[in-house]
Amino acid sequence: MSATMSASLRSITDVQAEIAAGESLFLAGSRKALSQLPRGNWVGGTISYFMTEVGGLLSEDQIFVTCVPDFALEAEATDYGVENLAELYRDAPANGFTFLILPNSTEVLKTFAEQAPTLDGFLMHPIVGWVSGVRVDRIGKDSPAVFNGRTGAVFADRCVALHVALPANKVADLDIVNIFESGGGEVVRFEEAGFRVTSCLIDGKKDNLADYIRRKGLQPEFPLVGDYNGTAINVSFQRVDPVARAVDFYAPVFPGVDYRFAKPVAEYSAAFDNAITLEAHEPDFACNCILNYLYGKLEGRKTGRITGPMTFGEIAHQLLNQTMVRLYLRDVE
Amino acid sequence: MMLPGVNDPVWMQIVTGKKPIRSTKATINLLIQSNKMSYERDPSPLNVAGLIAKTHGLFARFRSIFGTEIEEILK
Repeated sequence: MSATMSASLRSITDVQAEIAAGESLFLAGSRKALSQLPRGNWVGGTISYFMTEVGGLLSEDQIFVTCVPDFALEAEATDYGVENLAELYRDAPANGFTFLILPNSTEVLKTFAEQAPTLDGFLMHPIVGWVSGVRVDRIGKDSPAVFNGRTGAVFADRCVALHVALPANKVADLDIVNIFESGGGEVVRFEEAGFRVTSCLIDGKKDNLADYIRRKGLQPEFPLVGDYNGTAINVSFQRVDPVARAVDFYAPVFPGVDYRFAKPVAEYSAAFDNAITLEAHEPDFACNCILNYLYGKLEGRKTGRITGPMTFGEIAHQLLNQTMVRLYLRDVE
Repeated sequence: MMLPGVNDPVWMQIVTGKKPIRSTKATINLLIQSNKMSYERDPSPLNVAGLIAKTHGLFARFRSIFGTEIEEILK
């Protein structure tokens, strides 16, 4: 294992060697790249977009590697389906964290997104990770997948987890970086949780969300921003269907949360640079959203100093959209 | 830093929203929001007791990184 939790984009050959050397790894790469890896203590998911030290990059021949550090007490690769998803928290170490990858547009993703906040162990066991996807020009043709390197299994309908136990002098701390903030307009509320919405309350008055978006001329590039006690949690628009008068999101909305439309962001790269707070050391792991990559035209451009996969959804305890997630393994005094 | 015991009334004030906690930490803000939503759905003493146990447990578990917020609780 590594002395620190190193993370970078590497060649398939290098990753094969690291697995053979017994490293525990959390991997993001194309199906073609991940399929060439031997069995070992790793989990991975399909992603071909990355933020590197030289900027955003699409690659099918390299893998973004996050190595579990050598101070970790244990790292165990496993997988879960809808039927046993609650065991994710029961299996998590008492002190540590869990890397998680869920395949996009699946029942297991929907179940995690809607139910995680209600499950025993939520927040108490830090879960960090992302949603696997495909090249955007292959959406609808290829399927997102996840890999359990320990068993050699590849799944389109289950999630994979790497449970990492830490010693008592370390603690996992999750952080999110959101370049979007509330635009300060009317408050949108929902009466039911879900990824698909028709009706909502606008400043307390019943309305149809698709109609409201059309009337106001709002741009679906910018998310709804939920106010979680001052932390902004985005829900991104997948589709606004004017015929069905329905809106599909990439994450569920929840009743009891005040949402507002985001203030538009013109320059994503600069916005991330400004939003990233200086820390004594770089995060031990980070990921960011493919929508930021696409809408922000981040190919060849940087997001501060932060590197990692650009994914189809981010996880910091719960499913997030259009957000950068960071994991820090901090010393306990 | 000493954390108030689970029976301290301050936890009741926190989970019912009577004592606001301002934090830059996503974990704490997700907890406070989750408590708020749960309390709005079910303000019964049984549910409140569960929320207090969860909230105290989380602060105890992460007291090493929640120092600023614990100071606010102790005020």
